[in-house]
Amino acid sequence: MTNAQSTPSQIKLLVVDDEVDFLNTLSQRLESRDFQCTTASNGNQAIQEAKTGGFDVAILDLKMPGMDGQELLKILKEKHKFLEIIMLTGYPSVESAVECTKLGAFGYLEKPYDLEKLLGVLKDAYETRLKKKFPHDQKRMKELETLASGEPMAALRAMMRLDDLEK
Amino acid sequence: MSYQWDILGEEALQFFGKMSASISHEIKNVLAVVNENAGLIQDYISMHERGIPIDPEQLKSVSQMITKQVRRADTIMRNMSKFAHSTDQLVKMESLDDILDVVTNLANRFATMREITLEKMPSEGPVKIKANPFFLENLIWLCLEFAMDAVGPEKTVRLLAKEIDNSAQITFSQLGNLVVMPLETFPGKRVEALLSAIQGDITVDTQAGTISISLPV
Repeated sequence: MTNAQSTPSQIKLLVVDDEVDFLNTLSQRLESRDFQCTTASNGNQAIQEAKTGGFDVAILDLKMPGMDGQELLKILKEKHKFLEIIMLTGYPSVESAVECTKLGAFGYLEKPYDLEKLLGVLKDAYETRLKKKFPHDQKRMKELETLASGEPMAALRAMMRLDDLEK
Repeated sequence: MSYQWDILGEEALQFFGKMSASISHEIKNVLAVVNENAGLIQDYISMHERGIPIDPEQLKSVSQMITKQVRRADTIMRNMSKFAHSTDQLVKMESLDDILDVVTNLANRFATMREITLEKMPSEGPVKIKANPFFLENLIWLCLEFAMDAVGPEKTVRLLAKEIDNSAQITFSQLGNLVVMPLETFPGKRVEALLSAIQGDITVDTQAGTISISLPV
Protein backbone atom coordinates (compact mmCIF):
# COMPACT_ATOMS: atom_id res chain seq x y z
CA MET A 1 0.00 0.00 0.00
CA THR A 2 1.33 3.39 -0.89
CA ASN A 3 0.31 6.97 -0.34
CA ALA A 4 1.49 8.02 -3.74
CA GLN A 5 -1.58 8.90 -5.80
CA SER A 6 -0.91 8.31 -9.46
CA THR A 7 -3.24 8.85 -12.35
CA PRO A 8 -2.32 7.83 -15.88
CA SER A 9 -2.44 11.42 -17.15
CA GLN A 10 0.63 12.15 -15.03
CA ILE A 11 2.66 9.28 -16.39
CA LYS A 12 5.08 9.97 -19.23
CA LEU A 13 6.09 6.81 -21.03
CA LEU A 14 8.87 5.91 -23.40
CA VAL A 15 7.98 2.79 -25.39
CA VAL A 16 10.79 1.11 -27.35
CA ASP A 17 10.33 -1.81 -29.74
CA ASP A 18 11.70 -2.59 -33.19
CA GLU A 19 8.40 -4.28 -34.08
CA VAL A 20 6.77 -1.07 -35.35
CA ASP A 21 3.27 -2.54 -35.75
CA PHE A 22 3.36 -3.67 -32.12
CA LEU A 23 4.83 -0.36 -30.96
CA ASN A 24 2.17 1.75 -32.67
CA THR A 25 -0.76 -0.35 -31.48
CA LEU A 26 0.48 -0.53 -27.89
CA SER A 27 1.11 3.23 -27.71
CA GLN A 28 -2.33 3.91 -29.23
CA ARG A 29 -3.96 1.76 -26.54
CA LEU A 30 -1.95 3.39 -23.74
CA GLU A 31 -2.70 6.90 -25.04
CA SER A 32 -6.42 6.08 -25.04
CA ARG A 33 -5.90 5.44 -21.31
CA ASP A 34 -4.36 8.91 -20.90
CA PHE A 35 -0.72 7.93 -20.70
CA GLN A 36 1.65 10.27 -22.53
CA CYS A 37 3.57 8.02 -24.91
CA THR A 38 6.71 8.63 -26.92
CA THR A 39 7.86 5.79 -29.16
CA ALA A 40 11.29 4.74 -30.40
CA SER A 41 12.09 1.82 -32.67
CA ASN A 42 15.74 1.41 -31.66
CA GLY A 43 18.12 1.99 -28.79
CA ASN A 44 19.84 5.10 -30.13
CA GLN A 45 16.54 6.82 -30.82
CA ALA A 46 15.39 5.90 -27.30
CA ILE A 47 18.52 7.42 -25.74
CA GLN A 48 17.97 10.65 -27.68
CA GLU A 49 14.29 10.82 -26.67
CA ALA A 50 15.16 10.15 -23.03
CA LYS A 51 17.53 13.14 -22.93
CA THR A 52 14.66 15.60 -23.20
CA GLY A 53 11.53 13.54 -22.57
CA GLY A 54 11.49 13.60 -18.75
CA PHE A 55 9.94 10.13 -18.75
CA ASP A 56 8.60 8.42 -15.67
CA VAL A 57 8.62 4.88 -17.00
CA ALA A 58 10.13 3.18 -20.05
CA ILE A 59 8.91 -0.03 -21.65
CA LEU A 60 11.72 -1.78 -23.53
CA ASP A 61 11.71 -4.74 -25.86
CA LEU A 62 14.52 -7.11 -24.93
CA LYS A 63 15.52 -8.30 -28.41
CA MET A 64 16.23 -5.51 -30.84
CA PRO A 65 18.65 -5.17 -33.74
CA GLY A 66 21.90 -3.45 -32.89
CA MET A 67 21.63 -2.28 -29.30
CA ASP A 68 19.47 -4.80 -27.46
CA GLY A 69 17.08 -4.04 -24.61
CA GLN A 70 19.51 -5.13 -21.91
CA GLU A 71 22.20 -2.74 -23.13
CA LEU A 72 19.64 0.05 -23.45
CA LEU A 73 18.37 -0.68 -19.92
CA LYS A 74 21.91 -0.28 -18.57
CA ILE A 75 22.49 3.01 -20.39
CA LEU A 76 19.11 4.50 -19.44
CA LYS A 77 19.51 3.53 -15.77
CA GLU A 78 22.99 5.10 -15.69
CA LYS A 79 21.76 8.37 -17.18
CA HIS A 80 18.28 8.57 -15.59
CA LYS A 81 18.45 6.91 -12.20
CA PHE A 82 14.79 7.58 -11.31
CA LEU A 83 13.43 6.24 -14.58
CA GLU A 84 11.67 2.95 -13.91
CA ILE A 85 12.00 0.38 -16.66
CA ILE A 86 9.78 -2.52 -17.65
CA MET A 87 11.19 -5.16 -19.98
CA LEU A 88 8.97 -6.90 -22.52
CA THR A 89 10.08 -10.04 -24.29
CA GLY A 90 8.82 -12.80 -26.50
CA TYR A 91 11.83 -14.86 -25.41
CA PRO A 92 11.71 -15.01 -21.61
CA SER A 93 14.36 -16.84 -19.66
CA VAL A 94 15.33 -16.99 -16.01
CA GLU A 95 18.85 -15.83 -16.93
CA SER A 96 17.72 -12.69 -18.75
CA ALA A 97 15.11 -11.89 -16.08
CA VAL A 98 17.79 -12.11 -13.38
CA GLU A 99 20.23 -10.05 -15.44
CA CYS A 100 17.64 -7.36 -16.16
CA THR A 101 16.69 -7.20 -12.48
CA LYS A 102 20.36 -6.82 -11.52
CA LEU A 103 20.60 -3.95 -14.00
CA GLY A 104 17.68 -2.24 -12.30
CA ALA A 105 14.62 -3.26 -14.32
CA PHE A 106 11.38 -2.80 -12.37
CA GLY A 107 9.44 -5.49 -14.23
CA TYR A 108 9.84 -8.25 -16.80
CA LEU A 109 6.81 -9.30 -18.83
CA GLU A 110 6.40 -11.97 -21.46
CA LYS A 111 4.76 -11.13 -24.80
CA PRO A 112 1.92 -11.56 -25.57
CA TYR A 113 0.53 -10.30 -22.26
CA ASP A 114 -2.72 -9.09 -20.85
CA LEU A 115 -2.83 -5.27 -21.04
CA GLU A 116 -4.35 -5.08 -17.55
CA LYS A 117 -1.23 -6.78 -16.24
CA LEU A 118 1.00 -4.26 -17.97
CA LEU A 119 -1.14 -1.40 -16.64
CA GLY A 120 -0.76 -2.75 -13.11
CA VAL A 121 3.03 -2.98 -13.44
CA LEU A 122 3.12 0.51 -14.99
CA LYS A 123 1.29 2.06 -12.05
CA ASP A 124 3.48 0.21 -9.55
CA ALA A 125 6.57 1.38 -11.41
CA TYR A 126 5.36 4.98 -11.39
CA GLU A 127 4.59 4.88 -7.68
CA THR A 128 8.02 3.42 -6.97
CA ARG A 129 9.57 6.24 -8.99
CA LEU A 130 7.67 8.83 -6.94
CA LYS A 131 8.70 7.19 -3.67
CA LYS A 132 12.35 7.15 -4.69
CA LYS A 133 12.41 10.59 -6.26
CA PHE A 134 10.36 12.49 -3.67
CA PRO A 135 12.76 12.08 -0.68
CA HIS A 136 15.63 12.85 -3.02
CA ASP A 137 13.91 16.06 -4.14
CA GLN A 138 13.07 16.99 -0.53
CA LYS A 139 16.67 16.54 0.58
CA ARG A 140 17.95 18.49 -2.37
CA MET A 141 15.45 21.27 -1.79
CA LYS A 142 16.76 21.66 1.77
CA GLU A 143 20.32 21.81 0.52
CA LEU A 144 19.38 24.35 -2.12
CA GLU A 145 17.37 26.42 0.34
CA THR A 146 20.45 26.64 2.50
CA LEU A 147 22.51 27.59 -0.51
CA ALA A 148 19.96 30.17 -1.60
CA SER A 149 19.98 31.73 1.89
CA GLY A 150 16.36 31.03 2.59
CA GLU A 151 15.01 32.29 -0.73
CA PRO A 152 12.67 29.44 -1.76
CA MET A 153 12.13 30.69 -5.33
CA ALA A 154 15.86 30.97 -5.92
CA ALA A 155 16.23 27.43 -4.60
CA LEU A 156 13.42 26.21 -6.83
CA ARG A 157 14.98 27.77 -9.90
CA ALA A 158 18.31 26.16 -9.04
CA MET A 159 16.58 22.83 -8.53
CA MET A 160 14.86 23.05 -11.91
CA ARG A 161 18.22 23.68 -13.53
CA LEU A 162 19.61 20.60 -11.77
CA ASP A 163 16.56 18.61 -12.86
CA ASP A 164 17.27 19.51 -16.47
CA LEU A 165 20.85 18.36 -16.05
CA GLU A 166 19.73 15.11 -14.44
CA LYS A 167 17.36 14.19 -17.29
CA MET B 1 29.29 -43.47 -47.65
CA SER B 2 30.42 -43.18 -44.05
CA TYR B 3 29.13 -40.43 -41.83
CA GLN B 4 30.88 -39.04 -38.75
CA TRP B 5 27.68 -39.50 -36.76
CA ASP B 6 29.13 -38.31 -33.47
CA ILE B 7 29.93 -34.87 -34.87
CA LEU B 8 26.98 -34.72 -37.27
CA GLY B 9 24.46 -35.81 -34.66
CA GLU B 10 25.53 -33.16 -32.18
CA GLU B 11 25.71 -30.43 -34.81
CA ALA B 12 22.38 -31.41 -36.39
CA LEU B 13 20.61 -31.31 -33.04
CA GLN B 14 22.05 -27.89 -32.23
CA PHE B 15 21.12 -26.57 -35.66
CA PHE B 16 17.57 -27.90 -35.49
CA GLY B 17 17.12 -26.55 -31.95
CA LYS B 18 18.49 -23.12 -32.80
CA MET B 19 16.26 -22.77 -35.86
CA SER B 20 13.18 -24.07 -34.02
CA ALA B 21 13.74 -21.58 -31.20
CA SER B 22 14.16 -18.75 -33.68
CA ILE B 23 10.93 -19.69 -35.48
CA SER B 24 9.03 -19.83 -32.18
CA HIS B 25 10.36 -16.36 -31.33
CA GLU B 26 9.17 -14.99 -34.65
CA ILE B 27 5.73 -16.52 -34.15
CA LYS B 28 5.56 -14.97 -30.68
CA ASN B 29 6.24 -11.56 -32.20
CA VAL B 30 3.35 -12.10 -34.61
CA LEU B 31 1.09 -13.20 -31.75
CA ALA B 32 2.04 -10.09 -29.76
CA VAL B 33 0.92 -7.83 -32.62
CA VAL B 34 -2.31 -9.81 -33.13
CA ASN B 35 -2.94 -9.72 -29.38
CA GLU B 36 -2.54 -5.93 -29.27
CA ASN B 37 -4.89 -5.52 -32.22
CA ALA B 38 -7.49 -7.82 -30.66
CA GLY B 39 -7.21 -5.62 -27.57
CA LEU B 40 -7.64 -2.53 -29.70
CA ILE B 41 -10.92 -3.90 -31.09
CA GLN B 42 -12.02 -4.53 -27.51
CA ASP B 43 -11.11 -0.91 -26.70
CA TYR B 44 -13.31 0.29 -29.60
CA ILE B 45 -16.19 -1.87 -28.35
CA SER B 46 -15.82 -0.41 -24.83
CA MET B 47 -15.84 3.11 -26.30
CA HIS B 48 -18.93 2.25 -28.35
CA GLU B 49 -20.65 1.03 -25.18
CA ARG B 50 -19.93 4.42 -23.64
CA GLY B 51 -21.61 6.12 -26.60
CA ILE B 52 -18.54 6.89 -28.71
CA PRO B 53 -19.24 5.77 -32.29
CA ILE B 54 -16.85 3.31 -33.93
CA ASP B 55 -15.08 4.70 -36.98
CA PRO B 56 -15.15 2.02 -39.73
CA GLU B 57 -11.75 3.27 -40.97
CA GLN B 58 -10.21 2.38 -37.59
CA LEU B 59 -11.67 -1.13 -37.79
CA LYS B 60 -10.44 -1.45 -41.36
CA SER B 61 -6.94 -0.52 -40.22
CA VAL B 62 -7.02 -3.18 -37.45
CA SER B 63 -8.35 -5.78 -39.88
CA GLN B 64 -5.54 -5.00 -42.35
CA MET B 65 -2.97 -5.28 -39.59
CA ILE B 66 -4.27 -8.71 -38.52
CA THR B 67 -4.32 -9.90 -42.15
CA LYS B 68 -0.72 -8.71 -42.56
CA GLN B 69 0.35 -10.65 -39.47
CA VAL B 70 -1.49 -13.79 -40.59
CA ARG B 71 0.39 -13.64 -43.93
CA ARG B 72 3.63 -13.13 -42.06
CA ALA B 73 2.95 -16.15 -39.83
CA ASP B 74 1.96 -18.21 -42.86
CA THR B 75 5.31 -17.44 -44.55
CA ILE B 76 7.18 -18.37 -41.37
CA MET B 77 5.25 -21.64 -41.01
CA ARG B 78 5.68 -22.58 -44.68
CA ASN B 79 9.41 -22.16 -44.32
CA MET B 80 9.37 -24.12 -41.08
CA SER B 81 7.47 -26.92 -42.78
CA LYS B 82 10.02 -27.10 -45.62
CA PHE B 83 12.83 -27.10 -43.05
CA ALA B 84 11.22 -29.86 -40.97
CA HIS B 85 10.56 -31.99 -44.06
CA SER B 86 14.20 -31.74 -45.11
CA THR B 87 14.86 -34.54 -42.63
CA ASP B 88 12.40 -36.89 -44.39
CA GLN B 89 14.90 -38.53 -46.73
CA LEU B 90 18.62 -39.13 -46.40
CA VAL B 91 19.24 -38.35 -50.07
CA LYS B 92 16.95 -36.42 -52.33
CA MET B 93 17.03 -34.60 -55.66
CA GLU B 94 16.40 -30.96 -54.81
CA SER B 95 16.61 -27.48 -56.23
CA LEU B 96 19.66 -25.77 -54.72
CA ASP B 97 17.83 -22.45 -54.97
CA ASP B 98 15.00 -23.82 -52.82
CA ILE B 99 17.41 -25.08 -50.18
CA LEU B 100 19.22 -21.74 -50.18
CA ASP B 101 15.86 -19.98 -49.79
CA VAL B 102 14.95 -22.08 -46.74
CA VAL B 103 18.25 -21.29 -44.99
CA THR B 104 18.19 -17.60 -45.97
CA ASN B 105 14.67 -17.24 -44.59
CA LEU B 106 15.67 -19.02 -41.37
CA ALA B 107 18.80 -16.91 -41.02
CA ASN B 108 17.14 -13.57 -41.73
CA ARG B 109 16.18 -12.97 -38.12
CA PHE B 110 19.74 -13.66 -36.91
CA ALA B 111 21.05 -11.30 -39.60
CA THR B 112 18.56 -8.55 -38.73
CA MET B 113 19.59 -8.70 -35.06
CA ARG B 114 23.15 -8.04 -36.20
CA GLU B 115 21.95 -5.33 -38.61
CA ILE B 116 23.15 -7.41 -41.54
CA THR B 117 21.20 -7.87 -44.78
CA LEU B 118 21.14 -11.22 -46.57
CA GLU B 119 20.80 -10.71 -50.30
CA LYS B 120 19.98 -13.89 -52.17
CA MET B 121 20.72 -13.35 -55.84
CA PRO B 122 18.52 -15.08 -58.47
CA SER B 123 20.40 -17.94 -60.12
CA GLU B 124 20.76 -17.95 -63.91
CA GLY B 125 19.04 -21.31 -64.30
CA PRO B 126 17.72 -24.20 -62.21
CA VAL B 127 20.43 -26.04 -60.29
CA LYS B 128 19.44 -29.51 -59.16
CA ILE B 129 21.52 -31.50 -56.72
CA LYS B 130 21.27 -34.95 -55.19
CA ALA B 131 22.21 -34.68 -51.55
CA ASN B 132 21.01 -34.91 -47.98
CA PRO B 133 18.94 -31.72 -47.80
CA PHE B 134 19.19 -31.34 -44.04
CA PHE B 135 22.97 -31.71 -43.94
CA LEU B 136 23.25 -29.23 -46.80
CA GLU B 137 21.04 -26.72 -44.95
CA ASN B 138 23.18 -27.20 -41.86
CA LEU B 139 26.35 -26.65 -43.88
CA ILE B 140 24.96 -23.49 -45.51
CA TRP B 141 23.97 -22.17 -42.06
CA LEU B 142 27.46 -22.73 -40.59
CA CYS B 143 29.07 -21.00 -43.56
CA LEU B 144 26.54 -18.17 -43.38
CA GLU B 145 27.18 -17.73 -39.66
CA PHE B 146 30.90 -17.39 -40.38
CA ALA B 147 30.14 -15.14 -43.38
CA MET B 148 28.15 -12.79 -41.12
CA ASP B 149 31.18 -12.52 -38.82
CA ALA B 150 33.31 -11.70 -41.86
CA VAL B 151 30.92 -9.27 -43.56
CA GLY B 152 32.39 -6.08 -44.99
CA PRO B 153 31.38 -2.48 -44.31
CA GLU B 154 28.31 -2.80 -46.57
CA LYS B 155 26.90 -5.20 -43.93
CA THR B 156 25.34 -7.27 -46.71
CA VAL B 157 26.09 -10.94 -47.33
CA ARG B 158 25.29 -11.88 -50.92
CA LEU B 159 24.33 -15.51 -51.65
CA LEU B 160 24.26 -17.09 -55.07
CA ALA B 161 23.62 -20.65 -56.33
CA LYS B 162 24.93 -21.58 -59.75
CA GLU B 163 26.15 -24.52 -61.82
CA ILE B 164 29.73 -24.53 -63.06
CA ASP B 165 31.41 -27.39 -64.96
CA ASN B 166 29.03 -30.10 -63.78
CA SER B 167 29.16 -29.01 -60.17
CA ALA B 168 26.79 -26.89 -58.14
CA GLN B 169 28.21 -23.94 -56.29
CA ILE B 170 26.98 -21.72 -53.49
CA THR B 171 28.91 -18.48 -53.06
CA PHE B 172 28.82 -16.12 -50.09
CA SER B 173 30.32 -12.79 -51.10
CA GLN B 174 30.97 -9.23 -49.88
CA LEU B 175 32.96 -10.62 -46.95
CA GLY B 176 35.34 -7.68 -46.63
CA ASN B 177 36.60 -8.73 -43.20
CA LEU B 178 37.56 -12.23 -44.29
CA VAL B 179 41.21 -11.10 -44.46
CA VAL B 180 41.26 -10.45 -40.72
CA MET B 181 39.25 -13.52 -39.65
CA PRO B 182 40.97 -16.30 -37.68
CA LEU B 183 40.87 -18.92 -40.43
CA GLU B 184 42.42 -21.58 -38.21
CA THR B 185 38.92 -22.07 -36.75
CA PHE B 186 37.17 -22.31 -40.13
CA PRO B 187 36.04 -24.61 -41.74
CA GLY B 188 36.51 -26.61 -38.52
CA LYS B 189 35.50 -30.18 -37.78
CA ARG B 190 31.73 -29.63 -38.04
CA VAL B 191 31.85 -28.04 -41.49
CA GLU B 192 34.31 -30.72 -42.58
CA ALA B 193 32.05 -33.51 -41.32
CA LEU B 194 29.10 -32.02 -43.22
CA LEU B 195 31.19 -31.53 -46.36
CA SER B 196 32.28 -35.15 -46.14
CA ALA B 197 28.67 -36.32 -45.71
CA ILE B 198 27.48 -34.52 -48.83
CA GLN B 199 30.73 -34.96 -50.76
CA GLY B 200 31.28 -31.26 -51.03
CA ASP B 201 34.26 -28.99 -51.03
CA ILE B 202 34.89 -25.50 -49.70
CA THR B 203 37.06 -22.64 -50.91
CA VAL B 204 37.82 -19.52 -48.89
CA ASP B 205 39.18 -16.61 -50.92
CA THR B 206 40.26 -13.94 -48.48
CA GLN B 207 41.30 -11.47 -51.20
CA ALA B 208 38.00 -11.72 -53.10
CA GLY B 209 36.04 -11.85 -49.83
CA THR B 210 34.16 -15.02 -50.79
CA ILE B 211 33.39 -18.48 -49.44
CA SER B 212 32.28 -21.07 -52.00
CA ILE B 213 30.82 -24.52 -51.46
CA SER B 214 31.06 -26.93 -54.40
CA LEU B 215 28.71 -29.91 -54.62
CA PRO B 216 28.31 -32.78 -57.05
CA VAL B 217 25.20 -32.43 -59.25
